[in-house]
Amino acid sequence: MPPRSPRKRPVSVLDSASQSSSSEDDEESSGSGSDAEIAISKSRSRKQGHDEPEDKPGFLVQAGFDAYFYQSSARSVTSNHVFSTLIPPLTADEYVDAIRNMPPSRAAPLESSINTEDSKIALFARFMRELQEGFNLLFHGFGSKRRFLNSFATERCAKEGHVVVANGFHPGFAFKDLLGSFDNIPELSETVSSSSSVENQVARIHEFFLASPRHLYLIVHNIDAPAFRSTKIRSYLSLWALNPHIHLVASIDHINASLLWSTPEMSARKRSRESAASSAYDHMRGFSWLWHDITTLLPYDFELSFADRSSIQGARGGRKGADGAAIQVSAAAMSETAALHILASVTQKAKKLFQLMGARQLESIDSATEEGAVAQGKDMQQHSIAYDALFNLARDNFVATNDTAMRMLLGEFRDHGLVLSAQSGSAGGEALWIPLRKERLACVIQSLQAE
Amino acid sequence: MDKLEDINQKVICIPFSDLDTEDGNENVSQLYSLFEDRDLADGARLRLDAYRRAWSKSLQRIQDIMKALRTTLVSSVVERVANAYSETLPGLPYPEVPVLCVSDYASDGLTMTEIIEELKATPKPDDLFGDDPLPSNYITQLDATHCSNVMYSMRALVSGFVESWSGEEEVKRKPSSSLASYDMNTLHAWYEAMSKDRDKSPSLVVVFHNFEQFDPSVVQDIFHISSLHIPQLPLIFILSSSSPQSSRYLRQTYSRSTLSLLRITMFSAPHGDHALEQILTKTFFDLEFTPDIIVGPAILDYIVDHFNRQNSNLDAVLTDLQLAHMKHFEEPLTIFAQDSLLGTPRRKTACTLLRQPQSFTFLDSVFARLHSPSAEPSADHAEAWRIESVDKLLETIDVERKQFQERTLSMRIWFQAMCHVRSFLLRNGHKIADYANPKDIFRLMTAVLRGEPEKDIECIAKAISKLPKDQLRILLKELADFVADLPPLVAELAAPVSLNLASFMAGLPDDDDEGDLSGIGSQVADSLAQWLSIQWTKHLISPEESKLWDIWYTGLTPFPSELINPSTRASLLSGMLQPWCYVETQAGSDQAGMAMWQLPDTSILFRLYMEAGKLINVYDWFEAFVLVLEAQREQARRLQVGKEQAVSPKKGKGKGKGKQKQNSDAAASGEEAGDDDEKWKLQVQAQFMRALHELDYLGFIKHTGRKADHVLRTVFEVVD
Repeated sequence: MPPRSPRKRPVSVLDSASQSSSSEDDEESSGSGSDAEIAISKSRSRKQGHDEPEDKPGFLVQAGFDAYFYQSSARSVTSNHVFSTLIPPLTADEYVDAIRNMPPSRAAPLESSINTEDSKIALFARFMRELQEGFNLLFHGFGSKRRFLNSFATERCAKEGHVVVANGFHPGFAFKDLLGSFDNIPELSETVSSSSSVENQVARIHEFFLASPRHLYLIVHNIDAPAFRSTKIRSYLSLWALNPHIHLVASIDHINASLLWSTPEMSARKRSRESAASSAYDHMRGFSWLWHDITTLLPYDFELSFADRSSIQGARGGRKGADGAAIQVSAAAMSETAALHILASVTQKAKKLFQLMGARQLESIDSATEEGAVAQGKDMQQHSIAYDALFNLARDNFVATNDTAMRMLLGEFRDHGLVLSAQSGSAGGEALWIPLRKERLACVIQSLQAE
Repeated sequence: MDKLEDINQKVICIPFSDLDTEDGNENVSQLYSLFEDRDLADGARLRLDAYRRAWSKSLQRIQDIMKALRTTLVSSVVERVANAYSETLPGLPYPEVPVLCVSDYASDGLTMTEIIEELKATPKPDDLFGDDPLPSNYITQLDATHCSNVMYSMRALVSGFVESWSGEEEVKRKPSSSLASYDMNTLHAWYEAMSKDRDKSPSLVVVFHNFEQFDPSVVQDIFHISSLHIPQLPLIFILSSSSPQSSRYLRQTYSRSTLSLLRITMFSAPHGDHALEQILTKTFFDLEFTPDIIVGPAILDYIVDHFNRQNSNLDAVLTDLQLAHMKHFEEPLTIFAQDSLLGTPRRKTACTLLRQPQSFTFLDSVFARLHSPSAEPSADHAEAWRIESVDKLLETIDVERKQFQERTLSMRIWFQAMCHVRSFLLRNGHKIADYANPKDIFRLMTAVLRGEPEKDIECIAKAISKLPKDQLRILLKELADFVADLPPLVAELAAPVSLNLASFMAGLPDDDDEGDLSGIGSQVADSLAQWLSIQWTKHLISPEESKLWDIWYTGLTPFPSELINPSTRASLLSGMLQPWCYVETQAGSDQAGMAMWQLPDTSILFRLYMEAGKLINVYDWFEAFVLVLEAQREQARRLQVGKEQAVSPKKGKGKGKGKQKQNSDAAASGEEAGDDDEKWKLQVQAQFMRALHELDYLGFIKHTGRKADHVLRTVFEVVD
């Protein structure tokens, strides 16, 4: 272990750019000192909360391992801000509108030179040659490779043989979907029955293409997706991958995707057609990968279409249960469209009640903004109205004369999540609010008034 | 294709249609040229054909070598299977299950494949003259994915045999009255039916592929069940192991009670440096085989390093050599690797092809290489070209090819001689090299190819000069035998060498002169050392000494290691941190870098990520992101203002009304600015969420329940 110098205690550096730059300087500096001294000085600093002296620059070059141990050496100190309570979550419509309305300079992403036509012509020819020489291709690099792969599939592979494109990033993808797609290949659908087991179908497809003069090009987007990670699926794919007439072209995006395959699997070679037909080779498994860096710099919008943009865990959580369905809407957010739909189905009195409540909430937001409150006004719960106050307002405007009628009117809104409530800690009563952003609420109120 | 852009489509099938094909050459889609300015019009296709011929030749050779390496092992295993139940230890209290453990981690299953083929091919001795020889072994192969529990495993084992022979009549079994497919009694009944009327009962061989992947408890149960049915059912188990020390694995994984039921025999497939040495020596330094392409020291170094440090699989060596061939044949001149016919049947046709206008650049490059090997052609190059005829050019290439082959053959002969001397000296305990591992033959190979064998020659010569008389005699005899055993084609070249060796042998004193008191022995040793040094220095020259060496020799061309050993993390990180490096810029533009606010959103977020601690507060991360985007917005505004000022440079005049108008405009613009602010904040939030989800998708963050709305970093790198 190289000698390390005492360092400053790690602090959350995302509060300001200046802090981030100073912490970068801290990370880059290095110096001398024994491990024991470091441990002692760190424990002292933890106990006493003192800052340690500046590091002198040294000759050691930090690596990623040093950064990990450095970061893990002491507890990370972060603030107690909670993103989901401070920032109202985005609805699907809001997200789509915001991305669509981005300024042109930001909307057009940087494009790698690999996306140019000249580059593609040379690369595609090289890829076809490598496929014909018995290799399978694996594309890595930052940026969505979907368009690049699809171009390769349609412009080259489709002219040589059958092509099957599998969207591994689709949250509902299952291996059976891939098997079912082979029904579209006329000669194959006659031999392979969809009613037989998965193993039999895989074996029949393997045997069919061994004998077929027309090759199969299997394009897999995101072979590192969860759908392809199980041992059985990898075993099926590896059987096809070593078939001399099946060519596998896949992409990976996850930073640790290369750990999916062992070195024997990656380096296994395809056999000749005669050898592969022998049952003695049935146990051979592998992928015969050749790796290519296809850094396109394109965004992953298509792959993340099923992500729940209202949640920070949406890249994973939004995928569950999304099987061609619309994106999940968080319970804490409401879109303008949904609000208008709900209001269209309620009575006039309910609409009136909503207008009153909305107007009061807007006033509260405006007054909070005028007083210079920043960020605090983003949480609508802070602009809630007490139940009693709302009841008085409703009674004054002849919307509801008694508590039962009031609760009936509110019930409709509560059922659909258009009005939320919480027990107010200080007064003990109920606080009600509408989970809509200021501008959306204003639009809805305006629509109601226009009616 | 619309379906490809439909988010709801999980799989899209594009069946092949004849309408989409281009008429003509099937290889068109694979043809590309890196050096179009000096390539023949049809050069890519010709080079592809040349590559395929060269590689097929080398591949066949290497496969033959690998098969020869495995032959001994395969025959040993087959013999052991044949004698499994005849050569048993007498006096055992119970019969042991024969188990053969084959460690095959270097060739990834090829050894097992040959064993299985050999076992299947073995005919029954008493049916050799019959019409249909029956197999003496029935084989079932088990895979870990289909043997997750005992029942599935037993079913696979029993059905694997039962389905391989169903007798003369197909028997229909009723499920209600038949034995279960996993029942060993089914196998008993089948075996009885199959082996009746046979003199020698066949063996039942069960092969476990990738043995370490099986659940030990399942395998244990299989062994216990099998031990109850032998020797009535002559079951023999072959375990294909991918670990180098299979015996240790068995002892550590299985209990003594299980191991006591088995009679285990260990076999190990050829592996390690010995196997690699055989492949490289017999392919590129052999006297009976002349490869079309010789790989250079850079590629050899990579192959050896890759084999020793990363992947000791022999398939990987094949892949490395194939990629080296593919890269070599990107050079346009490699069209002449095997001949100078340029894909035509006669040289006359090839000359006509070269006289076409579109071949002039290629012709010019060939002429330049032949007559001006240096980088800058001579002053009279343009004139000298006119004197040469195309036919003469092709003839010269053929002569060069022949000379290259002769030189490399001579190099191989003397390399083999050096190897013989080395091995003799090593056997007798002499020091033959200055470097750490004197047995490292690969280092000698690369030194010879670089044309730098002087140190090795010096060490070997020194060792020879110190040889005692008796050892010298043995060495001379071995060298003479080596020369005598040379292939006939080479024997003519070796005639003078035989004479020299005979004279050295004659010069040695008689055996009864003990201790070499006369000193003649040491003189002979010195002379031999000197003579060998001269021959080695003369013949062990780098192939680059030849003209047009780059047609048949890869030289110092580095191996394209990124194809098989990529840095996926590095490429991902560089794409995010330095995206400008991947963007094509116009000539002369500055590509020094981009400020943080100029980067794409994901890159900005990632840079902030790299500056953060192990645990990241998402809200603070968002705030930092907003700061950067505010700087971006400010820059955009300044640009806009600058543009507007450039368009209308008139200053605003007047006070009073103008000022009132300005105030009202300011108020209106303030409201608009407020709305814009709101929209901008929404946009920023959307951009942040998109970038955050991308980082999550790529595996850079991990969600944790330790603190609300905090994420953990998974990547720790130092940003330059």
